Amino acid sequence: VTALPLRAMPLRDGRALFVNDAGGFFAAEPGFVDRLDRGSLSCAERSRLRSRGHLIEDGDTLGAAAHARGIATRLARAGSLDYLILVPTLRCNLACSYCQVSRVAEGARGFDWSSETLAAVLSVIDRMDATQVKIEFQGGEPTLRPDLINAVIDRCGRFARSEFVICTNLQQLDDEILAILDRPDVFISTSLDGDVLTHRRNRTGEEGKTATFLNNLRLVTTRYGPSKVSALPTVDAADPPAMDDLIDSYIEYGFDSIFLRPINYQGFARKRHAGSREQDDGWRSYHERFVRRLIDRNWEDRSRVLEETYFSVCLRRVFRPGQERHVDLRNPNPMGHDYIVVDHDGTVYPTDEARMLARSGVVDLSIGTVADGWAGEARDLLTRHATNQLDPACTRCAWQPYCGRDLVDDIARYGRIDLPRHETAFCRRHMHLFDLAFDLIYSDDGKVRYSVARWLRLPGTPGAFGEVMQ
Amino acid sequence: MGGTIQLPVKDRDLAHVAACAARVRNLWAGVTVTIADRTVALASTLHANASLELIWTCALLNERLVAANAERRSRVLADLVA
Repeated sequence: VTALPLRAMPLRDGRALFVNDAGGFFAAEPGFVDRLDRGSLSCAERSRLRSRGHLIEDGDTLGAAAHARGIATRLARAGSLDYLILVPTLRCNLACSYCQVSRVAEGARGFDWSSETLAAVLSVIDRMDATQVKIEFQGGEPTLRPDLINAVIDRCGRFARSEFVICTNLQQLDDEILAILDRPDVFISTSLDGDVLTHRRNRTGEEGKTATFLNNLRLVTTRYGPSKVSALPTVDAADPPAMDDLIDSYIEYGFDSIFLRPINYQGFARKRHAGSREQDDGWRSYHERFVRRLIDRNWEDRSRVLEETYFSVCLRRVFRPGQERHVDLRNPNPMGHDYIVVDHDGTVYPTDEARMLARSGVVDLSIGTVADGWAGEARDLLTRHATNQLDPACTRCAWQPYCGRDLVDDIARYGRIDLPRHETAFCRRHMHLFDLAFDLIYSDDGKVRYSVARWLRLPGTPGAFGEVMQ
Repeated sequence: MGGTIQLPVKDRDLAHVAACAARVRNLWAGVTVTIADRTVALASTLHANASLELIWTCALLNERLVAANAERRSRVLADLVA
């Protein structure tokens, strides 16, 4: 029996796209679709499909093995623990309206790591068998406890490669913190919501704190260069900023990558921005117009390449299987194996969003404690469902090989994980993203191909990114 | 944007069409399907630029391809997990 391990998806340009289970794809003109539908492909067409792994003849063991290998390459594998998200304190010196983590006031007591929790974290680091480690300091505002940051960094000297990311609001940059940031293995992640007024309205709330942030952002980008600093905006989809204003704000500080994030339906945002539960057509339209605006600007000024970070992740998921480890978009998505989150009280969560849900009092998705371990039933229960392979809707979706599964997002929005996929914000968001991706992949517009090639980190611009069956 | 088309069921089995229509609903959240008087009506706002006829063709074809591959897909995945 001949196998056609394909799924079909209509493209916007009137052609159909076929994606095989390993993620290989081709577009087809209506005539080809009709012949495929009627089982009347020519020998040459069958041969062409076979040579590209879209058709497996009965008895073709090499073709079957290649196909299985292609699927295996796409499947995410969680290695040993090598990525920690640490929350040394929940205290913060800002009060953003959509804070995702229910931070507490700067002067609050009992929201920092205890000495026992610090010891347990260091013990975990000592027992990690990975040769490299990435540690992200979240909060609260982690720079309120530089002593805890230093203690962790000092403990990582034995790793062949270490990378530390400090997620900070840049309100406080004293000598002790600058000494940490001066390290070549330390990177800075911050939030920049757009122009001064937008940032002040959303985050800092007053002129003085806004000026402090912008001055410090200027300081670190000047002192270290933009490659050591990343920033991302949180966008209120109900009132998004003017695109060029947002882009210009990033260019002003030397940033080329903009991770366009709608307000996350977490923490305080659940009450203050209740509309953020669903990302509607308005948001998707804004996102698409933003990506297309970046394409125009990249074409107009070729001295730099601007990108929307998550869209580039999606593109790489299509073309570079196995190389993109973005944990919100991998499949399967094992929980509590290669990365964990350690909260201010030593509780371990599988993801930062899971921590937020617990902090918000929605549901406790903790999987253990840093002192006593987390390899238990709760972790395994989550992991069992963290795949899109067997979902009845995903099984029929051409984007399945590229897409992922985010249980925690479903729980955050709907309180359950068994909604039909198409009724979830995650599905709608990624349907839109991959629809857009393939619209651009098959675009004949030179300026589109120019940006797509650069977002894929290609040295030049190929004549085409995908095949078309006539 | 979007639109509505009426597709005659023709010689296709109505039950099969209804099953495929359900899958269309599953796959394309912006597509609504109604079946009456041996016609299938599709209305779409999501794939505003995609032809509804093409959406329908893909849905039917997809249903056949997925069904034909279900056992092989399960076997490959089981082998990989093992």
